[in-house]
Amino acid sequence: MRYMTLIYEYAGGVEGLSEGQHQALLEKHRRLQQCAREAGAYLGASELKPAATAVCVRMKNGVPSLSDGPFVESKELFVGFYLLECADLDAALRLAAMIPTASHSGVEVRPLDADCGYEGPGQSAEALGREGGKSLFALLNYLDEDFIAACSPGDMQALVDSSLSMVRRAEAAGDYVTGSKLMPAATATTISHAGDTQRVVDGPFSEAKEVLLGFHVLACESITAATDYAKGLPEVGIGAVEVRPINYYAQTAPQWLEWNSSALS
Amino acid sequence: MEQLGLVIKVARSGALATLIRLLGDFDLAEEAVQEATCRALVDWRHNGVADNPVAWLVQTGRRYAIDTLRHNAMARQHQRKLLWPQETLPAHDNDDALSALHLPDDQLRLIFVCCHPALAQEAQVALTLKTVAGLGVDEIARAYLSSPKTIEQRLTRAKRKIRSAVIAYQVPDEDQLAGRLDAVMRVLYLIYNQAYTTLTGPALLDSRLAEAAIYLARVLNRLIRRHAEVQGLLALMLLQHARAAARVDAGGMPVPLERQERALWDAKLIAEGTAMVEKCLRRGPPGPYGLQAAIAAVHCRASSAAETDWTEIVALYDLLEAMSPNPVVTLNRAVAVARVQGAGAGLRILDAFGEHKNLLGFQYYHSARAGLLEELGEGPRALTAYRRALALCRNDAESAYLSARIERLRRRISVPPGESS
Repeated sequence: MRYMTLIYEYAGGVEGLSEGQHQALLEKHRRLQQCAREAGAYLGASELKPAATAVCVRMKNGVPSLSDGPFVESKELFVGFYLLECADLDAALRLAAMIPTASHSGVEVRPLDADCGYEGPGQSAEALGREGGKSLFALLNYLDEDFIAACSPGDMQALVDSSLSMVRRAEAAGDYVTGSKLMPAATATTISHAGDTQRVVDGPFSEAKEVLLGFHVLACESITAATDYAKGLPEVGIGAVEVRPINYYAQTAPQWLEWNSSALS
Repeated sequence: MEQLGLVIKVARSGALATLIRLLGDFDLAEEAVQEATCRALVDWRHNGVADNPVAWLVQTGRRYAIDTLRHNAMARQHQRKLLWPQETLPAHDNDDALSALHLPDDQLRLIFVCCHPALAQEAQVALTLKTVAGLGVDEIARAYLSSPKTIEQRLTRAKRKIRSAVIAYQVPDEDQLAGRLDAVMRVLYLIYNQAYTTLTGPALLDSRLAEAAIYLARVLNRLIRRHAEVQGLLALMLLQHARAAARVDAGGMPVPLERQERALWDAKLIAEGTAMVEKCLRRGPPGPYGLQAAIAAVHCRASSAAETDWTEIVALYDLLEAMSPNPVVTLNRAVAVARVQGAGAGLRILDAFGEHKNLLGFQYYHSARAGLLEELGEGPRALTAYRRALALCRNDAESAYLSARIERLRRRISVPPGESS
């Protein structure tokens, strides 16, 4: 089973970190990545650049239009994710527990939907991003919880199918890195903290009504090209697609790249 | 026939645990064990009980499930989901093959899956009661003053999450075991507490639920051998349950501990519970469940309320409070201190604590204060405290008890109804 671990951080949570604390944070990510690689569980990881760099694509008066800033406004910020392949939930939770924020804000573990048709690491993000002179972007697809609840399995499939045309187009252009639909929020498990100890609880981390339905990682020349892809996603018409510049550390990356704290603050 | 029903009931629980593993599907396993128990009822009545009832139910249920899958239009889709491929199952009915299936391990796996922290606490409780203790949806709904539909949805959601998030059917690894066992014990403790003081509704004690909790604790104690806290938890339940018959009078009114008819206490349960506490204490310093059981044992040992060894109870509460500080423990410690050092000393603890910890919304805080104030001859203040407790009370029997106390006190200090609050 493949899982996405969604990393949440409080606004301003790492701004006050000293250099030493910052290095300790990086060290924890490196150690986690090493463990995940040794267990054959590592598929990829990403850090999102600051919320201020986000652009949202949404329908307004019948046309997709752009707005500044992240889609979900809350004091807990979605700052990055790991993609893991584990035998079962406990194995995924064990790795997720090593993410530093699991001890002071929270990490959500959500299974990926293997039936969505476009899951799995595609091309090497390094090759796409570095040699092609492209930058990496995440398209984060959000839908209202009530809308998702009202969807029949058929409706959901139709939604996925209409995402596929964007995926195929990006693949053909050599811009698609990876992506997946997530299982419903009801399948999520969260590691939060109680005092100094971690606690595993049922349900998603974020209380927001807007639920992350899936994501795509694209390599594009500019954020404009990324938002053009976003406009082709069905979520634009019924929810929103947030476009975020990211760093992406693919499975094929030879070693852990710096976890840039500027993106976290 | 009574006996046959009991044999089937006991075997059913073990068979279900194994069928869930063999079939990789809770719903199919439940359907299969249902069918198997129906067939057992007919077969065993004529031919006598099978040598190994659990194995018989597993074989019959497995064959039924395979037939169902074959004839089912969805067979292809279902078979893909089996965790244990059909080919690896014993091809013929063979008791040797089945006894190699480690039935107790399956039961333990089932308990750990049902109490997995990735499931909501209320779902853990419902799933444990349904699949491990074998309670019906209606019974669970009654115990939790909920509708069968709500419980059914809770169970469906939990089973869906187990499948889609892949919660493995296994006993946790060594490094996780202690924490996960704590979670299991907490679920059992919650179930017993719900039975012991059904917080809302008419009855003070839901004995079907209490029996289910004790059954679960016995199963856990059998599966996890020689674990002090599991022994402590089982002992606690046995000793509390021993007093069940004396806790309510003929009119359904709660009877406080000191006025309970001790002849009504169940001596056999007390003997078993006490032996269990001693076993638990011999293993070393007790944990929270062991301490609570030790306290219950001190109460059960006293042949009258006056002979209760309150000094020892205070000492045990001191340990308990240091180990797991919580309002209920402090409350009970204050009451115990009042028995040793007088009502004034107990009241001082309560008052100091109440201000700090925001206990004002807790019914038993007010009723405990009321009792101590009444002892001190502070009638009007006691009356106010009783009324606060009554306003917070959601159990019919306890409400009636508090109303009676208020009425009695009101007459004694001759305050007209409604005044002094």
